[in-house]
Amino acid sequence: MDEFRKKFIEEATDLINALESSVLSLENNANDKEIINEVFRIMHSLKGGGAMFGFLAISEFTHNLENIYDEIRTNKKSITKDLLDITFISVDHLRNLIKSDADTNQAVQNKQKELLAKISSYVNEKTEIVTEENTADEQNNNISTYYIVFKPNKDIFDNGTNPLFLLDDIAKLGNSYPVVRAKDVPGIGAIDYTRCYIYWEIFLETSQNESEISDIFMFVEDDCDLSVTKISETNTISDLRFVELLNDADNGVIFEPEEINAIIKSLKKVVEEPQSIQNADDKIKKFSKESEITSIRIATEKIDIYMNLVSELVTALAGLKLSTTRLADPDLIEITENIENITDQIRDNALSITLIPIENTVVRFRRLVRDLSADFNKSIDFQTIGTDTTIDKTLLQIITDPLMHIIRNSIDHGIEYPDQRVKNGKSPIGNITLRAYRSGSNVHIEVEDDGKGLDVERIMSKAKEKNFVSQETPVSKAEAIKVIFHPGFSTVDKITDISGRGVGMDVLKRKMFDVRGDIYVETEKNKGTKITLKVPLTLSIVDGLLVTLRDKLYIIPLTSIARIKDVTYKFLTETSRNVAIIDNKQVPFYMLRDELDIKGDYPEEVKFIMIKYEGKHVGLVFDTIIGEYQAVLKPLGKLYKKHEIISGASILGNGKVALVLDTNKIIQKFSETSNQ
Amino acid sequence: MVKTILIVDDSESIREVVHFTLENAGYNVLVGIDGKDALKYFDGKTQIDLLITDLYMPNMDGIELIKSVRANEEYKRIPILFLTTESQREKKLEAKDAGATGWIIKPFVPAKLLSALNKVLR
Repeated sequence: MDEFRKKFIEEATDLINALESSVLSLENNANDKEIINEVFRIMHSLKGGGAMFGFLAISEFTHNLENIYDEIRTNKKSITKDLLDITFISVDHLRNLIKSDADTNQAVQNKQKELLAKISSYVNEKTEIVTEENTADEQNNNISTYYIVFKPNKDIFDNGTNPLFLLDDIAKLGNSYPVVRAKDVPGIGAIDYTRCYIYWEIFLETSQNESEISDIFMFVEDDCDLSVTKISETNTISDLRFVELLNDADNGVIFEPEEINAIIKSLKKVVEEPQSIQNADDKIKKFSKESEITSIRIATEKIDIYMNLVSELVTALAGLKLSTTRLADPDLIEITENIENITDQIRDNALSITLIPIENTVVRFRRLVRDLSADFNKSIDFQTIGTDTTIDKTLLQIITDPLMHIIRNSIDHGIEYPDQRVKNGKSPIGNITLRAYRSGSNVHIEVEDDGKGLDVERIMSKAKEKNFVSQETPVSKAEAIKVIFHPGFSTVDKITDISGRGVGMDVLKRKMFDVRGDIYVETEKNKGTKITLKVPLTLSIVDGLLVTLRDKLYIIPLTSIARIKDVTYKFLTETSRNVAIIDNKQVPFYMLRDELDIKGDYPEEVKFIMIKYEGKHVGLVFDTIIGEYQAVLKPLGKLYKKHEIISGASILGNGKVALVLDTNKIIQKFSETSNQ
Repeated sequence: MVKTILIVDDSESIREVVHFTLENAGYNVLVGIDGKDALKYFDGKTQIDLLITDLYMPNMDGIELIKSVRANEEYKRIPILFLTTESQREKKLEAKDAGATGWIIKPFVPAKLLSALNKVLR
């Protein structure tokens, strides 16, 4: 954030200067709308940015000033000399506020109060400070059931809203029972696909309150009819009779409030009657709960077999879907959709079984830190955050060594000796923090220390010496850091003692790439270093793009694709040295038909797929793209073990096999051969 | 497919925070410095899955940008979020009328930005 703060200060300085000159010209052209707008806009930017980057005094101060100019803008107020005077003083005051000592300087603070008082005499409303909305959820453990009617306007798609996302969000709040109403859908010929014809009634049991539910719909409040009613204080949907009774009462259009009330009441009666038995019941329940077995151990082989069967099921389903589409039998379509739904759930469940929390491994790191810090005579506080984050067990095994390596480096080279730390104004105890969290379909694991950081300048001079980078062109910090991943950067010469982290970073990077992951380094001199490992949640399923070369099918993992461009084959043959100019950038590329030795010519139009490779883009040329495909990976037999460029295979619904390409390996391999 | 998000704001620091946050979350990020600048991306060839725009900008403001995107046959249905502050109730309505999908309240922390994004892009 510090970098951003610095940026903001630079920017705020520019803005304040611009504000001053605008106010100056306003003095001569008091009615110039353009300038008034400009003044307003600058204040608005200062306010938003100030709040964002922790300059609360600025945002508090500009808030009221902005209001005044907003009223002038909308002709509710006019400009007076007095106001301009205050604005000029404010400009000077703003300059003081972005100085670093603004929070402690008493004179500045007094000035702030004095000016705020003056300004607020201009506005009627009271001074209010822009504050973060209170995010502390008041967790209420009592589950209630809500009845939600959500009728989107027909034109809801027009402003980019997808109503299904909202239903997903509701489902996340608790157990829900949605009823879709499709009676307004016209016949196939009359459907306008840009209109929304359906609406939903949803029963939701949740511990969240009503405002959490309304919050989901906040973007669409004006684009739909929405009603949220609490229908009971208990988890009514879990009562199977409720759903049954509801189905009986369903008239296909909408539930009547009275009907719902009647159902709820009838449920209550049954519950209330056997009051006397209830106590005994509770006791039995309590007893049985204590003896309940909540988890069992399963041999990993059995899980592997289960996973394999699940992937077979997914494949078989794909075949079924193909036939269903061909036969177009409505009954069959419904059954297939049902099976698809169940299969999705089985797959998700199977995946969650193979995920284990990283806590299991972190225990080992605690020991490592303790032992190593004793060896090095350094005292280190090792903190872990988010270790309940789960990850595929195979992946956890794969990243354990790299993590160990990173922590060892932090202790050895990152954290300084206690006396050195004191000299640099730090606490003598060093800190290493391991933080794990899930982001999308990836898990991020960060190791952060507050040591001396990488010596970027010396890394650069070493890199230039070794000709890893060109001697002349200046290199940014980010690019400089990338150099440490350069193969050979570390092992040659004793760089470890200067960089602090030379050892085998290229190996780490390769390991991460092997599992479709990535590694990032952030560092600041004397502040510390943060290394982030990014790994996918699971290895067995990959979201890919299905492409072809002649009659052969390949899958490219979506995560490695940067862009796709349609080009003509002629365009590519006219380039020199296999470098195409795409959008004014040079992109080296490989004609995969040639490289993979597939006979025959490319079609006239080909697909130029740009792959992310070491921070650059490299093109791979294919015949056609079939579409996105979620591939269940199957290992190749041992005869194919040596084919590094293929990371697995997947069986498509029609029984055909598609090979999953490891794009990094491909580019690596072909660039080596073409360099020779 | 990696989703591409276009962020338009005249403030460089806001642009950088958003850019940084989104890129870290695995999105492909395009950047425009004001409405007029942003229009260059809407060429029918560039993939844009979501537009995030500030409202007050020189040259062309956010409202006009939103209107022009909604009028563009190729991009008329992409979700659009705009950046605003708590106090700008009327402006919010104006932007919604122009065709915006939703908003992000400044100041925001990365988690808040990503959760707003999650409401419209999956």
